[in-house]
Amino acid sequence: MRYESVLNLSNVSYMADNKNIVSEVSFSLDEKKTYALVGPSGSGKTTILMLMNGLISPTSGKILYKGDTIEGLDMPMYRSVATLMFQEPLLVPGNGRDNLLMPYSLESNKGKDPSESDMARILSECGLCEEYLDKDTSTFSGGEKQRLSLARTILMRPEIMMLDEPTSALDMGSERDIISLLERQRQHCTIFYVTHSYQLIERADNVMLLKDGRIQSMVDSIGKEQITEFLGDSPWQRT
Amino acid sequence: MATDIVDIPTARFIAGYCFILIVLALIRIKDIRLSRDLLISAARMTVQLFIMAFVLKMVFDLQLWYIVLAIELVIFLMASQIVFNRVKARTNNLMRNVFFALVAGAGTILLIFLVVVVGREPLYDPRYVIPLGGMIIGNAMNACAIAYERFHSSINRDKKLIMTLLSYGATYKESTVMQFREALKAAFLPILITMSATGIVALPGMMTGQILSGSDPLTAVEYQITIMLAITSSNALVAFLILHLQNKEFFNDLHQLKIINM
Repeated sequence: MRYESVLNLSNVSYMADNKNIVSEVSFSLDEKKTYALVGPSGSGKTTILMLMNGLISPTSGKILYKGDTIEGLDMPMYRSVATLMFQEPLLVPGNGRDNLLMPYSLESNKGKDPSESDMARILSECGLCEEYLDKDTSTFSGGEKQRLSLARTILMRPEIMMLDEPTSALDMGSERDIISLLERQRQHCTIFYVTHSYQLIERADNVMLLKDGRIQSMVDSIGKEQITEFLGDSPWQRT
Repeated sequence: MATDIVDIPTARFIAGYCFILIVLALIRIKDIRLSRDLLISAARMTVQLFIMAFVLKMVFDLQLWYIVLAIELVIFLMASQIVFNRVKARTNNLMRNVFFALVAGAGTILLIFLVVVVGREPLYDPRYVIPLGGMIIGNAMNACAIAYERFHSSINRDKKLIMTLLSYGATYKESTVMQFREALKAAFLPILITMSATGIVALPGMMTGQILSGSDPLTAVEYQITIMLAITSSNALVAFLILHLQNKEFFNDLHQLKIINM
């Protein structure tokens, strides 16, 4: 079947407790492109990611994956190809390997298990050495948890990778490594991230500015000053 | 072995109320305003138990299967209502699910116990069905409430982890495996502790009652062991059923966690 975009949001609104969290949001994601969603705190960024991942359903409007409404799909199967990584990296009890293998214990990912060398490689690309495979995650720092969580998401090779502030807990050096890793990933998948990092914003093919649950503008590139002006008092994570 | 049942003469029975005087004296000394509550509770207990004795006597004499069945159904309904009242978080179908879990879990075990262990004719002999049913259902009721409460609270506590698992493609069942296990374990624990303490710390009520009424202690022990095993099995089954049924209630058909905004 022919489809114009891999994911399409059409007039999507979401209400909770009689309050509009997201209002009439429309955009399309093309294959192997990178998108950045920028907005102040409480503007509805994480809600949009959850809507795209099917964790919540729109109050009105439609979300189409390759032309089909996602609510008509096998939802676990859809989420395994349109994966979301939350800002707070939540790891299952155990070591690094247990966490990297966690998605493959699920029915929707059965039979796709990565090899030991794949796991070691992805860890190294995320700035963690092979020893982290056997290291208990309870001893991980915030940054290490975030890198392991990102490694787990990338290892799944989803078609659409949705990332909520993927570099928020990283120092500048680590952030550079992750940015180059994401650059390489765009050859395989569509990447959609929520971020406050200008380094990530300037590498996106398309930048969406969100305020009070509404998309204010969608641009191919945007200057740092414009972002600063848009975010107002919101501090930059890093510049 | 003496098998005579020692009846309590009326005067001695009334003398039993002297025990309450000790409590009343302590209440008076420490000036705790509980005398009225204590007397009301003792009076209520007396009236309720005497009514129960008359009802049981009547049921035992009648030996009608439909009366026994009706009594068991009322016990199941009351047990479901107690569980429903005891738990804080109530989903739409909670009462129905608790009733189903108790009937399917505790009811099945009671039936197996009556057929396999007791093996009396008729099967519905109220002298066995009512007390055994009471013990099995009463314990299952506690296990049901503990399992559900723990499951709900751990899902609330771990909802971010559950959402993470869902976001990677987990089904609703896969996303709550750990919380399910934790709740099942919590429901098992009280009966495991009771089993290991039985015979050392305390003689169980049923065994004490049988011994007092003149049964051979060995027979009493055999009954006690089999009923404890039946209670353990019934608790496990009821806990498993309520968790299985309630797990669905926390999610919709799209494997979305309903309590996300709670």
